[in-house]
Amino acid sequence: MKGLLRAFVSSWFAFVSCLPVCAQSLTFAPAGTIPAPVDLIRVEGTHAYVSSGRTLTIYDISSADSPKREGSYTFPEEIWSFRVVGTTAYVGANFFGLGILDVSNPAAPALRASFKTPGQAKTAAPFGSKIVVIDHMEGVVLVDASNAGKPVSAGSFFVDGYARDIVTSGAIAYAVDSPAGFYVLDLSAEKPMEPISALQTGAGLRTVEVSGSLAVLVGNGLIQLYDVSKPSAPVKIPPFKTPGSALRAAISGTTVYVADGREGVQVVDFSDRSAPKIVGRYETAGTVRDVAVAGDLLFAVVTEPTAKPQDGGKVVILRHTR
Amino acid sequence: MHLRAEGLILKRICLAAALVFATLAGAGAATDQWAQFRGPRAGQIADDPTLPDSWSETENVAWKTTIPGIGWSSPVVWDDHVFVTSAIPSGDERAPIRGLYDPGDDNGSFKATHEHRWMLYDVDFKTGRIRWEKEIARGIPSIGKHIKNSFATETPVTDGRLVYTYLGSAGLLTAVDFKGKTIWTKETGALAGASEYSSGSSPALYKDRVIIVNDNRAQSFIAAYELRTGRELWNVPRQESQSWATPLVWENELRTEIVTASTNKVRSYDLDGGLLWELKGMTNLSTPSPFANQGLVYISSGYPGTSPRPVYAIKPGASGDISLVKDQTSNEFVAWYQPQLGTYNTSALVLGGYYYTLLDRGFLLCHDAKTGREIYGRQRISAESSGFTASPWSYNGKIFLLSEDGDTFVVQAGPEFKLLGKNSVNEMTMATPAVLRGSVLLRTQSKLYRIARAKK
Repeated sequence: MKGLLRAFVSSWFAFVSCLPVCAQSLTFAPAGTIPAPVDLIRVEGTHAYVSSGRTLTIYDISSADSPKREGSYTFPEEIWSFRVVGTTAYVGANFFGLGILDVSNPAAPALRASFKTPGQAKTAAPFGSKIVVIDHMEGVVLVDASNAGKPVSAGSFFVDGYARDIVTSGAIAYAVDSPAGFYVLDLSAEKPMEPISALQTGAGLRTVEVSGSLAVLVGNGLIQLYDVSKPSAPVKIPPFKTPGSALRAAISGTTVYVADGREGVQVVDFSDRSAPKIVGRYETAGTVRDVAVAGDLLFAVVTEPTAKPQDGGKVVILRHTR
Repeated sequence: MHLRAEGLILKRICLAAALVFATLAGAGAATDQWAQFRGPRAGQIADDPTLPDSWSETENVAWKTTIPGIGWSSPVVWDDHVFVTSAIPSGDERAPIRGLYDPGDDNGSFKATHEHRWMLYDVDFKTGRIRWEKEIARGIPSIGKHIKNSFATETPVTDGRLVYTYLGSAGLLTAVDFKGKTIWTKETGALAGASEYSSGSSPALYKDRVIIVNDNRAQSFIAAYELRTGRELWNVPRQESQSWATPLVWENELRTEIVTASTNKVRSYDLDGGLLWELKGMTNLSTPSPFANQGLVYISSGYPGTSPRPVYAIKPGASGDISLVKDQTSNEFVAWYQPQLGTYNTSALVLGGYYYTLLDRGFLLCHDAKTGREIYGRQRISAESSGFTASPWSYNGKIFLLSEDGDTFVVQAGPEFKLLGKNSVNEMTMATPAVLRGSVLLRTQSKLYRIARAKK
């Protein structure tokens, strides 16, 4: 029965994907696509940044119906993840380390500097001239990029588990490790590598995003929110279980868009923290492994139904309305 | 007929006594023989002023010999015989990667595509010359392997008469004499563990028997075989799916028992395979080997992706389920417990009342071996090192920590961390060295070194 359902959904996805999808209180309408293979996506302004293997590619999404490929940069090693702030992309490029990519000219992104961390660099996030890097061996590595061309180490914070992700909001950095660590660092502090808070979360949370006073940790089918109004004392909000595997998320205000694996995209409204609810859903035949949001656009990285986990997908761009 | 029978019995008793003596001599002598993984005292070597403190690829090198293939098994030594195992692929396979490695979406396991030759080498202790080599098996490995593992990770054992190799990936337990002749072979099956990372648990010797543990997804077991003939004495199923820890024959003040560490449980068996006690609360990849010191047996399990990552110190005499219940840190038989001290691959070292933990990611910690009280917390050994898998060892008041880069960091023993030096051979290594008779037998990815003070 489930197979039949999947086959139906698959057919629908393949042949009728241009039709609008009604999903509870949100409606999605396909707008455009970015071709495969794509692993991860970030959107900054009018550009989408997608990674696939060792390559970061930039698309102009001024017209969401017809994204235009601009330029790309290929690292010597695989890109685990990245963040884009302004005209700089901070890339975790495996054993190559941190790559600081100047994307001010999207047609010709240029490596401004790099920094080799002890193990596999996973991702990075900036605060001023400081960059915090997630490294598989070391945990969180602080890099001083005051000298833009020659970043240097400024310390590190070892995490017991596998360091997974980090995001900054102003001077505050939020990091997660597997299986259960959630760490808050104040990068403006005299000793920035001493966490101002370290908590044990639910198991399996792998990514973290921040919006205002909310930190959103996602993984293993769970969304775990923390109220970080006071970063030194995050307040845990009851976790929310999604129907799928909740791989990654994007947040806009109090709305969390979840790449929910085989269950597509789930949109969860946390405006009432005690009673979060799914307010939208975009079903797919394949696996949704990443999402990004920008205004009324939702970007979902969707793999083919038969794809292996490591295979990239295409980006489906959706316009959503309430 | 009666007299003849008595004579035979007497002969057997004498033979058994001789074997016992030989085995105990091997296990108990300070550092004259090195018959098993980590030697007779779990890495603690009797002080010997002739042992080297410093070395390099050329300094204090008595000899170095190329060993074909890859094997992360340790060398064992008896008299002038140094035994090492290796698996030689007939073509290029994926090379191992240094450091704690995240393979990403695949789990790091892959199937070999080329035929392999599982080898045993006898190297002359004095000269480094390969005295003989023995092909134990040949074929394409049927089970997968983690990119960092080898197909010859189990360290052989010897009683001075035969050398016993267990090669889980080939599914063979083999006894070979000191001239390279196979005396017996026992097929145990090449059985894949849940993650298809290949095997690593070394055999253990006790008196007339060799004991192996193979935890896999088909039928996990612990079994004992007669040394002389290879006859299976007993075989006990286990509810496990994978492990790499070597069983410990623990001769404590009350009895002799076989302690095993695995994913679900720590279990201890009597010498006939009967379960004595068990303990829940391990991580899902269990590699460090149990070892005993001063009346306690130490268990560590520290896969970084899970929590807790426990270390337990266990007292002798336990029976039944001795698992800790919620919020307990000790009980009648668990002397102490540390919830986040477990290591991923390295086994710990106890020396002078201190329990030293070498974290795979390059930190050393020190705790009181009797109580588990912290003496010092995480100390970064080197900002440059990529990771540690070999277990630490000690002599002359120093602790030696061999990184996967081939750098041996020398740290002073005692309650204060102090780095004394670094000795580099500039090649990847994951094997724990053998140390005896003024020499460190250090195995890298391609070579076996005998490191000894150069004669002036």
